[in-house]
Amino acid sequence: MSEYIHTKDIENLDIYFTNKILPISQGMQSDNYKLGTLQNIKIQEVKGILSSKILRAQELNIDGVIEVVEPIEILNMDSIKLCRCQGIILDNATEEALQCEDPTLRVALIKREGTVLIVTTNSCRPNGPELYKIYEKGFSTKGKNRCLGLSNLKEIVSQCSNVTLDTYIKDGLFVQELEIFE
Amino acid sequence: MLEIFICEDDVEQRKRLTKYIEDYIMIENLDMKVVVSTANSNDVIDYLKNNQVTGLYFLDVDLQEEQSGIALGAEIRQYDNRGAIVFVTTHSELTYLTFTYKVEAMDYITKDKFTDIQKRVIDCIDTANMRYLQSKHNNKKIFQTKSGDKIISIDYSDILFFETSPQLHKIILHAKNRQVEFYGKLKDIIEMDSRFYRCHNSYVVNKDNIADVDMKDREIRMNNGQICYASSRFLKGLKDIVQH
Repeated sequence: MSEYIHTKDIENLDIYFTNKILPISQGMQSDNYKLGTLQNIKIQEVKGILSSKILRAQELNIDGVIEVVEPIEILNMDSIKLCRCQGIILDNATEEALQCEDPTLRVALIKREGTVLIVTTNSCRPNGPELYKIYEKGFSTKGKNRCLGLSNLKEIVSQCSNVTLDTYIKDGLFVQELEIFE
Repeated sequence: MLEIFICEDDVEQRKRLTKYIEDYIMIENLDMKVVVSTANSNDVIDYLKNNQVTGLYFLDVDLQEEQSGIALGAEIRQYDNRGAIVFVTTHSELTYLTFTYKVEAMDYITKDKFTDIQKRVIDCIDTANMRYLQSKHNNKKIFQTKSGDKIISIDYSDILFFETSPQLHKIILHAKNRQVEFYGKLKDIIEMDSRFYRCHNSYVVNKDNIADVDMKDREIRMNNGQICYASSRFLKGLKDIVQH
């Protein structure tokens, strides 16, 4: 759109805005739309935990989006373990996002060659704690003896021989990639 | 040379995009060239079939043809697995991550958020150029390993240490701002670089990032404060390293 403004092409800008931008932005306004692709997850318990956690984030005014482009029918991971992992990841992501000016939370389930990747990203503070610290038992940004969450996450993943976890901070985003091998 | 491809079906936008890129290449005198600027994705594929290239691709996701963005990206990957793919799209922020991960896209420019497209395009060119030069001149600076479909790349200087997981053959790499797991053996890791030192049966440490060693408790403190462990068997060798 800025291209049309650039060239002062008001006529085309008008057409472009009315035909393309308006309908999209109206659709985008509804948070439900951002959850629409949940229907592609065919595993009820996984769908449940993702929808409830994202809805909660949306209620807290976080821009929560879920992307599932292809149907996900099988995940080769014990579903209780998987739900615990995703629960911890999403709770943690929501808490951190809330401390940001422009809070976002985004989850994607992506089929790849021989694996399914679950990516969770959230906005994070530019000078948060060192990554290794948040994995220490009993570490919490809210004081001592709380939040065993992320250390539990690591422990659960370490029990699964076909699941790997990749955690990193990049460009203001905290990213958790849980990769499940078939 | 890094070769640039533009696939966008809106004539105006394609012209503008091409101009941004060509201007920037000229001003900065970069070793790059726009080789294909087209509305038809087949032109891109045809070029790749006939030429061996490392490319930077700007692809419009909403191409009004059968080939969707993901499929086109995947096809490009078959010919050019090191190239940088950037998706440009008018809508659907809703598939941002999917695009990024499906074809290891480098970036994703949205046209609808009042974005300064010129600036974003220039950022992409800079990033792609930096990566290209790095991979060309010294492969040694970046540690690379494969995990399933994914390639993990980390600067050697960012690596703190490797640790074995309780699960067989799983290794946890601890780096600055990243912890990542992959399948492999510590034995193979040590051979990858002279900076790596086996300090414990279950740990390999990057000598360059050691802050100090507590000989009594056999703990190695890294530059960022994280602790790596040493065993008495390997401690002596470590002593020699730290003293030098």
